[in-house]
Amino acid sequence: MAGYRVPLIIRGKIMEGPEVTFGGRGGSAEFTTPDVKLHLGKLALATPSALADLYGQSFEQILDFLAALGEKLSFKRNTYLQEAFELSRHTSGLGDEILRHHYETLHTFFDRTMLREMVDRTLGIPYLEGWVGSRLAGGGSAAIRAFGARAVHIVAGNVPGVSAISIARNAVTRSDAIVKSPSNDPLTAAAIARTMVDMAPDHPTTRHLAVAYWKGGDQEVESTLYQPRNIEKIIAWGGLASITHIAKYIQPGIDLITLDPKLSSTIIGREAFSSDVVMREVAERLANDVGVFNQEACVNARVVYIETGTHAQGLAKANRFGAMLYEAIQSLPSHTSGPAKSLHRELADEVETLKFAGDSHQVVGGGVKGGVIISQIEEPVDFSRLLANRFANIVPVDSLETPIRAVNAYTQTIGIYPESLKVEVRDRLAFHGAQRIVSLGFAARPVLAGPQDAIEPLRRMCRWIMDETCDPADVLMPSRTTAES
Amino acid sequence: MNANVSVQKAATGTLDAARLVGLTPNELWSIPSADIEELQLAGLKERFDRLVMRIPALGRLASEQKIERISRLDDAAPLLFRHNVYKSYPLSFLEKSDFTRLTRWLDGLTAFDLSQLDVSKCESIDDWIQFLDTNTEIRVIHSSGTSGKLSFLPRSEGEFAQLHLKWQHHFFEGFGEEGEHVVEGIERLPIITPSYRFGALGQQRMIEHIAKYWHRGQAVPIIALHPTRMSADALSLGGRLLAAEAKGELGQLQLSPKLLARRDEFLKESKDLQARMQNFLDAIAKLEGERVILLGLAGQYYDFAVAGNKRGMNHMFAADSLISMGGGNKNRALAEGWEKTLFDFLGRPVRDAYGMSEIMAGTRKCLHGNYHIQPWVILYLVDHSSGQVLPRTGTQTGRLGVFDLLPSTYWGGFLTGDEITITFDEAARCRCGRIGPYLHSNLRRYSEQEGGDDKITCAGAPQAHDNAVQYLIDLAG
Repeated sequence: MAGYRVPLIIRGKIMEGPEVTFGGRGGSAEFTTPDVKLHLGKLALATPSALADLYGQSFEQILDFLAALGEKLSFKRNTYLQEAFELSRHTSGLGDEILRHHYETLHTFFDRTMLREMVDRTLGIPYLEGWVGSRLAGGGSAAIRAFGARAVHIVAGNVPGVSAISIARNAVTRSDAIVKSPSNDPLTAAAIARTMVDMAPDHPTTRHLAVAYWKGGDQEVESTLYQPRNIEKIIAWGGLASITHIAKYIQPGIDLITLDPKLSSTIIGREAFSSDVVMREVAERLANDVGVFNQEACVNARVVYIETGTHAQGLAKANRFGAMLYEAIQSLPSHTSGPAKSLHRELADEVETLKFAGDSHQVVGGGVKGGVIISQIEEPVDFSRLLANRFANIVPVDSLETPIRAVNAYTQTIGIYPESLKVEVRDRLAFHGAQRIVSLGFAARPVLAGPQDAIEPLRRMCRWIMDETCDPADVLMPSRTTAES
Repeated sequence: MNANVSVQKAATGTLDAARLVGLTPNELWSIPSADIEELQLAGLKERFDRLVMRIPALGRLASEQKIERISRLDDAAPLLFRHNVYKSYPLSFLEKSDFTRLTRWLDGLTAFDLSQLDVSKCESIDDWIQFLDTNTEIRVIHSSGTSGKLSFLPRSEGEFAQLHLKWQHHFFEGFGEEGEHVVEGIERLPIITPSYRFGALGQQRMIEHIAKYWHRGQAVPIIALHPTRMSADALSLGGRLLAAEAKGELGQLQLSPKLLARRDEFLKESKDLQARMQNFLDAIAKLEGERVILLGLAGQYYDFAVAGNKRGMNHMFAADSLISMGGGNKNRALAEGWEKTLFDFLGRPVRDAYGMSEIMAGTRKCLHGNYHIQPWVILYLVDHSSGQVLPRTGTQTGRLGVFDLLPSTYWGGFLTGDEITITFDEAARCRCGRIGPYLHSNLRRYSEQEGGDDKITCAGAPQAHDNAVQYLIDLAG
């Protein structure tokens, strides 16, 4: 396995120079890339004022460019994307068919309607396009405008869409991005950037994107790059290890936006168990939340609380529901979900052991096809954070207090059934730390026109500038105020 | 090597696999492989036939794997318990002090019948372990655990006893030219441990049983850094506290007042450490130049050596001392040059060892850098991805499985979390002269390989809190 080359792209130029070799995930793929250390001087945008060229483009013109880019990102025709897919087959945790589906739909992140909705909902297009003024209660007025910033994006590689959305967010905010590619998806961001270079090498949006690979934590690269003279923002996806590296460089002048790892869960009310027909329908909806993206994403359900009760009858229902869920997961179409490419050893050990040791759990399935663990006690398995590759843990509860209390700051999405329950518990879930509450079955549906992980990344990516206007005739100057309060 | 003919005959005739432990290393390692395999197969069959009905978990696993009898060594590969089996209970049993359910869980893993045991009066893990010590044959060995979850291995008094304890002789004694036929006089050797004197961790159980079966009531000194008991509760609680702190879930911890009181005791012990080390060194100074038994982990020894050096202590023990250095530098990085500091202090180098508390066997590197696990343990290699057992031919690399033929009250088969290379090939015998398959020194833990580089995903970080529990693990040894 060799022969992959990950380009270094800096502001419309494909860089050449001595190359270094890196191993991919699991030692199965190797790739070379120009040594970024030799190009560090050019990697960052020299001065913030160099962002000015982006302001020659209206928002609609930027959308025109992104929509055209979307068209060029047709998987059938775009050889860069095809190459990214080929390499990802070796580095990604996703199976080929699912991965291919991700690449075939990657262009949707550049859809004009969706992008316009995203920006209007989270920033307000007028704030990007000009100064939005309003009268102040104390006299005078203030105008506010959202400006772009120079940022490093440390993107996640579990799904290729993360690279795409990062590039789109950068473009619409008129920002400058250095995308640090992840080792489990080293080519997707580069493929999009190369397509932009082919399309319009001198377009300001192309000229404000750099894509590079270096090993996360490389001190020589990071201590040079992560300086307030080079960047204003770091947008970091990823876990404790990656954030711990970055935190060392945080100082006044650098804003760290973390989109850290989250886990998601499900709460299903007693209404779901009123009949076998409803149970099956609910199991199918739940299978979507568990299985789409093969449970590689933070939005996927892992622990599923069900209000069947923990008495013998309740447990029997839970076990039957577990079997239905397993069946529904197995029936998911192969472009959305399929058997794992490789077993996660630690998880497999835990699951296989539960099958014969102790009596606190039942297991349906196992191995690469995934499985369902049904707790026979009112609590999740101790290894719930390892659940992946389509393994769900069903936890029967007597009261919904149990799942509500289990929510914490690490909880991202909670899928809920029925709708009435969602309305009833959403405030309390939010108090405990939940960040997204969604109708059961739609946890894995990407909705970009809103907050992510309880923050608004698009707003945080901008620099919000105030222009205050005061006429001394209307507003008292401090020197003219009296001592009396 | 001069194979001992009478032993070969005995091996094929009357010796059962478990009694191999009574042989000297020179006898043991000269038995032809075919004879060993015959013994191993006979032993394995006997264990399976006897235990499949008596150990519920084994019965369930065998029935799921549709295995009714053993006719080849490889037949038992699907029956190796994953190494996490002895901590497969829900952690909440400890959090809620639910020792009745914990006992029911343990009952599934031992041939002893624990169903009539009333543990309802136990309020802590230490209570429970002592209750089992007093009322049953089981002498639980627990692990140092992570996040407060300890594993509990139900080894019995009989399995710790006289004959079985002889596996430790094999650990210390050399083979052939290694010239370490030194277990004579073992019953008079003082024991030194830079750890706890009492407790149910593997090391503390070992001290307990050496005192019982080697010293046999003679007044032989046992000098421990901590003359107290290593509390399983403190260990578990410490792990849980740190894990909960790391997750911001401290408020949700369920702690009984009894356990909280123990946290103070534990913290106090860590504060007394300085004085204890001085007392420990005072006691050891009196044994300078003597032949002793040392039991400990590399990290524990190193701290001991550094403290000793400060007092000008050097080359402390006789060269024929028996030194067991377990765990490598498990869970902590030692300072550059730690080996020299340590070996100068002890008075001799110590070869790396390989073993695990789940099996009653352990070995130091031979002079040619390989590990030879005593043949009452059957070795398996399993393919990491397919789970298929690898052939016992040539040189293979895979996940190590072991079947210890010594225990008769719990299942001796384990699938470890270690990747290793084994040479099975008779023609490629190790140059040290030992007959039989051997482990290369390329041991790697799978957990270090998985996610060892800069993988970034947006979904959960299982290791998020692992750093936090190290302090307690180091103390535990």
